Amino acid sequence: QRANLRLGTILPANSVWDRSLRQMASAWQRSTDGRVRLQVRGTTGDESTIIRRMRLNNPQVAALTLPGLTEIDETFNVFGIPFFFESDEEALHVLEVLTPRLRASLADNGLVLLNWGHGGWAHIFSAQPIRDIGDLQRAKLFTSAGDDDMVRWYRENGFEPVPLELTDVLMGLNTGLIDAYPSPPYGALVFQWYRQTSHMLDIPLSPVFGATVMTARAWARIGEADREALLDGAAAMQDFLFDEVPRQDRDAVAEMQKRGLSVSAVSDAAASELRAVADRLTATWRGSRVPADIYDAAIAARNEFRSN
Amino acid sequence: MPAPLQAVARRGAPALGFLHRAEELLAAGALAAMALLPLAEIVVRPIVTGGIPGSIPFVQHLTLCVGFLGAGLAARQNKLIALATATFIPEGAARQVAQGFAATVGAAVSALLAWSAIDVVVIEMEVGGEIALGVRSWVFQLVLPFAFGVIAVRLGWGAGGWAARAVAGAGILIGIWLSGTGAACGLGEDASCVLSGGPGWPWVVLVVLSALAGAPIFTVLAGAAVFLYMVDAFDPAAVPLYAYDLATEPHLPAIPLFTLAGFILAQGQSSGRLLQVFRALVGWMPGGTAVVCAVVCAFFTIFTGGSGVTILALGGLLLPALLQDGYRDRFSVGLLTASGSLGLLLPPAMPLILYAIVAQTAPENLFIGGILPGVLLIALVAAWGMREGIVTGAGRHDFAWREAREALWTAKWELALPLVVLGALFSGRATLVETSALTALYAAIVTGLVHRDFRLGPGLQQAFRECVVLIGGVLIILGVAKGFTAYMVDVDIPFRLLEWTQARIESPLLFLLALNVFLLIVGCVMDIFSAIVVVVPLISTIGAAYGIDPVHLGIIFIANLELGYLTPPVGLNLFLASYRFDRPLLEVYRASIPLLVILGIGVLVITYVPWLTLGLLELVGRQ
Ligand code: NA
Ligand code: NA
Repeated sequence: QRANLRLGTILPANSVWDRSLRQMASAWQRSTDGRVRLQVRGTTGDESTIIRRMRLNNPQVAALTLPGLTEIDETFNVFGIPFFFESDEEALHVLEVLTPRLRASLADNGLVLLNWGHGGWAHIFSAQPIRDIGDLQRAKLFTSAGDDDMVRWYRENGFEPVPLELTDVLMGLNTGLIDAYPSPPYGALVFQWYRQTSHMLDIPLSPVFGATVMTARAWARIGEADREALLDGAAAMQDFLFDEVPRQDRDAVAEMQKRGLSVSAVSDAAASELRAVADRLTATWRGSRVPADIYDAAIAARNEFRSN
Repeated sequence: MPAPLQAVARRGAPALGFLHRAEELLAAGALAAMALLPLAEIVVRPIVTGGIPGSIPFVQHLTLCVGFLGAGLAARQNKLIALATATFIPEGAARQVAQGFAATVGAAVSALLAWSAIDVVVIEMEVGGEIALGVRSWVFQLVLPFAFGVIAVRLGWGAGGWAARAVAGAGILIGIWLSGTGAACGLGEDASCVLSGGPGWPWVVLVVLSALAGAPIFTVLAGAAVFLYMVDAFDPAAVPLYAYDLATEPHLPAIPLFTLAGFILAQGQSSGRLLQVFRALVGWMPGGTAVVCAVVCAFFTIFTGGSGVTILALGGLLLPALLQDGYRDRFSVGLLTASGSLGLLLPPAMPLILYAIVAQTAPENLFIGGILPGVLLIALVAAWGMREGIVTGAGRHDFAWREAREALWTAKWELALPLVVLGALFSGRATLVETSALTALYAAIVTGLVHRDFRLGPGLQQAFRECVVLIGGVLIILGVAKGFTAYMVDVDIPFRLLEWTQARIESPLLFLLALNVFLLIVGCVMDIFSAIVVVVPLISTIGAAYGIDPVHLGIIFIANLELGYLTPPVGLNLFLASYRFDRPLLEVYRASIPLLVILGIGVLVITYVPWLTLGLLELVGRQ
């Protein structure tokens, strides 16, 4: 069976993500002898619209970011818990442990998981240096508009969230409406946000995972043998991203440092203290933002990784 | 009307009247809520951390309601924006056939959209979450099937006599049937997807003909999009889905709110007070009154956008003022026709905000970039006025300090308006949307309370009613235009256009010239709003490939479309001026041609002197 598939994504053209998707598309075409073609040129509209359009089976494939995934299923909030993971390896381990559950929740929404994507690690950028939770609580922190629960959680824990649209961030930084925001270093560099925030906290906040998914309808029309080939191509893309994106972020930090960004190094003791406080505060996510069993599973997987 | 139907109509009339009132109240109420929420947010944010729960998404969804309820109202009042080509069709049978044809196609497309929009709501019930306070997003989306359905019925009703209405009714049924088959597209059930695999062009021809015959512009864009989607075996529900996507864009609420400010100002006597000031200040110069007209028109257009409201609202005040001062009739009509679109490049005009939304750039960069080009165009028109003053020696006033001082003092609140807008925006106390709400409030206070130009209740009601209808007419076009654009992106047209252009044009300078010609044609056949939504995604990649700065590209784009307002045969301002000044269209064409040439030169200068756009941005460190 032949399939001409279209891809929907908000990931920018000519970026490392765009490149990896193109590589996957040509791998698919090669390994299925041209039976499966994927047009990688993005779609119009925001991620919510792409997700809704997949219900109309056009596009049939999408590369989604974490906000889009949490819109589909709140289970994905588990990767947004602040200061929950210490390293890429640790986060990847938890991701692998949770994958069967996440795959099932995507399937409940008519989507087949092809691979995981990596958008880098969100870090806190701020106008004033941040050394502990107290400094962070005093900052006027950008929060994305529309996530009302998150705003409430911040407020109840003494933070100063300022809900804004992403498009208002630069303006907000210029005028002082906000003076801190979480972003992967690469994002802070390309959006030029770092110019107003010359400090970056050297403790990673959370990994910005993503996923490539296909509608179950389109998947059903692809032959058994070709499905294997598609999954192989998707796996290669995942390996590429988990290798390349952290490197891109390191390069971005180096570039911004050349242009005046100061990375506030934190001692191990201070870092574990900050993580301990964060763990206490985010314990309330269990059963509210993150389903209790997923939260527990994530903690168990994390402890298992740390004890090895 | 047959007798039994008349009886039904008589008995139904009070109920219908009540429903109409309810519809108007709902729309005006939604607009009021979307003005009050951002205002409350400005006050609450410094006191309560995080501000009002969900206020930003609520305002976005209220914009959706205002837009589509307004579109329904516009359909009722026969004010959906349409090409004026139908007025060239001779009266009599030909006109009637055209009217029936346009109504039938319009009703069928609207019915198709209404039925498909139900699918959009169903999807939202499955996928969409809660906005805040337990309110879910699909509740707001109900306005889509409602509005498209109401529009289908109203367009069908306006088909003409009962026979024509019956034909339009059949069109509605066909639309619903097509929507049903369209839902099978995308599922892979190609046999039930009736249009799939057939040719697309007959459908495009059909909807274009209907527009020429007088169908609303939105039915052309929407019709082309839904039919082409179905020809390619895609579900046409993507079109109402994109209407939702566009109507809930983060910066979009600023457009209705600035427009509301404009309508409130127009409701009062602000234009008269401004006329006094500028007359007192520059009336002594040769062509002084003409200069004044250009400046006052630009001032109003900044707030009312490129909707032609300026000509309608100020024409009656300014034309007599010019004639009374001894300016020639043709000169005066031409000047005011051209002035009706001056100011579109100055902050916070609607097209700048819309361009920023579509091109995903920061609106404030376009605001700053547009200042010098905007001033240049006003200066060119003013210079033309001074030339007229010198040639004809039309009336000059003696300059009097006393008069100037008094006029300035009287109009001080209006004159402070730009400071309020820019102050709020750049102070860090308000976002763009909040600034627009503040501007509307300020306009209401100045005209309604300080000057007491009108009785507050009825006056504001009137402004709200007019604003809702205008916004509805514009927003429905924008929404379906986004669906049309999405189709073009789906079938890869931007990329193919880029390849096509790059194969033929090498130098950026030549590209810019080609762009000017292209945009001038676009401006002739499309209104500025759908042009931005449809064309910007096509040219922004190409512009980037030729190394054109995105802000510069935006200003070139809007400046060209500003010209389009004046370009015969279908420039919007030409029609509005013909209507407002009660002159034959050909006379207005003739009167406007010199200004078309002058502004054309201005547009070329803006195109080839990037410094005009980028200089200020560099100065404030934004480049
Ligand atoms: Na949107
Ligand atoms: Na949205």
